[in-house]
Amino acid sequence: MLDIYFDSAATTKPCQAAVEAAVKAMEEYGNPSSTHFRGLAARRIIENARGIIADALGCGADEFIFTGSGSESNNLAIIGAARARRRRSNVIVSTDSEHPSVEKTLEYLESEGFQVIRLSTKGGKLDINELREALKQKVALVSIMRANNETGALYDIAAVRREIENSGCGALFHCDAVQGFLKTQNRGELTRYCDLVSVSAHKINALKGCGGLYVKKGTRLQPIIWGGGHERGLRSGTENTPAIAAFGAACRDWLSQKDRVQAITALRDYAEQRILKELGDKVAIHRPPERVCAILSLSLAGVKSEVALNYLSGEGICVSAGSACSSHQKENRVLYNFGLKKEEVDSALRISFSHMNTKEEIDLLAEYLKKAVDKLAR
Amino acid sequence: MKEVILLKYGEMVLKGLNKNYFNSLLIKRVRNLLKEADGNFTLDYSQSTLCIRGDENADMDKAYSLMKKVFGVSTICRGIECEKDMAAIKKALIEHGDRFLMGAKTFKCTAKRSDKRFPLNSMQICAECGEIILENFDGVSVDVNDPEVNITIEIRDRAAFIHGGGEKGACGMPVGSNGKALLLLSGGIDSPVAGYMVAKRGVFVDAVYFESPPYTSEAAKEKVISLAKKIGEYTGRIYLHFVSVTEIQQAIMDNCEEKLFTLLLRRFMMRIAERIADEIHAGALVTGESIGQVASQTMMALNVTDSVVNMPVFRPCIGLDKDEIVTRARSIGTFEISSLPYDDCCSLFTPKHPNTRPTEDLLIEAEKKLDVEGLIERALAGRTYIKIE
Repeated sequence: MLDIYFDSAATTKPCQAAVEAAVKAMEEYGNPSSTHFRGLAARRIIENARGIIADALGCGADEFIFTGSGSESNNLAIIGAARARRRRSNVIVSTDSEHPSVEKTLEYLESEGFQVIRLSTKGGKLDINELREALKQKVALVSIMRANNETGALYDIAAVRREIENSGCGALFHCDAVQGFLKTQNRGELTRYCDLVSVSAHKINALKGCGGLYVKKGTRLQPIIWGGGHERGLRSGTENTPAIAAFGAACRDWLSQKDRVQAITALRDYAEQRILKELGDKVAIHRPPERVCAILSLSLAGVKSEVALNYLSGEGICVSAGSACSSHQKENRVLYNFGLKKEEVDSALRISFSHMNTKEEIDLLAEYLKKAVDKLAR
Repeated sequence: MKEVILLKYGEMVLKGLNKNYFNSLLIKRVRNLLKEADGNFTLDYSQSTLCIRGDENADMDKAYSLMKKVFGVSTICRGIECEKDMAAIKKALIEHGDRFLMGAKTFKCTAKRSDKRFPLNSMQICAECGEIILENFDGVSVDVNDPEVNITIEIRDRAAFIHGGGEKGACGMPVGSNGKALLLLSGGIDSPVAGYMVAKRGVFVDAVYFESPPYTSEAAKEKVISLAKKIGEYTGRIYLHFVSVTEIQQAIMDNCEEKLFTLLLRRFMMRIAERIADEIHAGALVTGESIGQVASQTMMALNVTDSVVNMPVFRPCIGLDKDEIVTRARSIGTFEISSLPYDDCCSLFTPKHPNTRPTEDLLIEAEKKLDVEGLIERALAGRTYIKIE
């Protein structure tokens, strides 16, 4: 059986540097908050990693905190900012295609009395007119993702910042950059345009169970976890030293390869071209106007996502289903809002790449996608 | 004075001359389960109660929790065994009373004196024991109507036992006392409950799962394995057979009317299950159907799925509402597994307008277009199985 991994948007394989850093950090078992030498050694590991990631984001080390996951970062940023700014405004502006850790958090805040405006992202493009309209009032928070996790669409955060400034609505700008961090050409953009930025370690070849949040200096947040006051009081809980060490190491490893984004983009483009060549009109590629290097979204003609996924998995190829085949499961909000037809949503697949993939693997993927259609299309 | 676990038998006590047979099966099951707990245990049966004693290394906590999965036991008690004399009983109460009280503010004493030669009667035992507890433990009082703890003193033939009341056991009949059946297990809520209900009556249950890769996923298969494990926890072991029906489904789709898809497939499943049942010497098939729950479970639909087999088909959920089945699924711990989102059957094969009033003739006619025997043989040829212990 093959063993080919095209699901890097779900999670990535930890790189060697991350594994080594984590193993080494496990030996440094001290509590990073302790003031004895064991604690200080662990603290050094954490601050070293913080420095690397802050550099990558283009911010100060004192503007970046570690959390337990990208989802937790999104929860903290949105709930924390909304609560801290409630007296100013109870309006939150977001989009109709956010990750569940943003969407469900917004639904929770709606139940607490906040008003949420969800901007259309049809075709993978933010509707700037709608945004301008929404910002004609006092707004507590704007939360818009950088790269969509299903379609790969990149939303124009520079334009969002411009609109916020021009409107004078006074909103904070949070960006879920879990899929976008390190995967666009302009690394400094996130902290230049946003006040809060969520990132996750395991999407850049580090470990699960570790995320981070950029909090621009002077931004007020209420914590959602209380305790010993770790991470500047914003995220209590003893830091996960090994996972944080791995996060820093993976980040450094990524930055050491100057052309990694181009390399992944080239893989994606090659995949697109190979799949089109193999399948012709049996495949629809969903191309947002701007997209992140790592994600390719497509629909196979007449093969439900889950069936294609099961088939490919049986052959040893991992991809992700855009939507579940089952009729009683919730429909895929993101793909519908992208503008796909029901048949396309039902048969959507997400192929996602990392620098560890090869052209040979892509050739095999195209071949097996063709086999899937020949065998299973109804 | 020694810590013991008492297993009180349920329905089995009504058995006559064959009681020893049931008892030996239950003891065998208990012995097998106790292998999972540290230490050595001895078993002693008398007066419809099995007394479990452990050596000094025995993990009585683990042993106690294992005993909740023994069919045939109506009540489980954890207590103290001591000599049949009031001085010893009182000493035991003073030393271990807090274990039974567990912080309760109110208690009462109940005495059961099956050995009528004991000098005090039940009322006298209760009175003396109650007094000892009131004297030795602060802040407790007697409440005979609604006590938080009922401290029970049992004067039996060989010893006296003290415990703080029992907990309901798994009930039913000892496993293996009623033969073997084959369960048609899906990833849904109903079939694991059906399997459990039959197993509870002392039946060894093996299971068959019909998969249709790539329309069903590996995750769905893993889920079914977890469900089978849950049933196996009660019966000790379960064989789970896997049969792929992908080719059958495709043949049905290509050749037959859509409204009959489900029923035709069910008939294939029943035929295949019967052949496996024959091979493993199972005496019946078990399914999770309930009258009218879905289109393939109307009385007429059940009739045409039954008519292809010649062995009894047990449907213990037949008269239960969905919420009753869910309640049972929760109590045996299968509900959370069944609720995982992996489907065991693709919606692709579900007809939009199924026939709810099928006739045998209609299905026989439809099956003429299929190589029924060939399809069954090929499906069985690809069968695999695992043993879960």
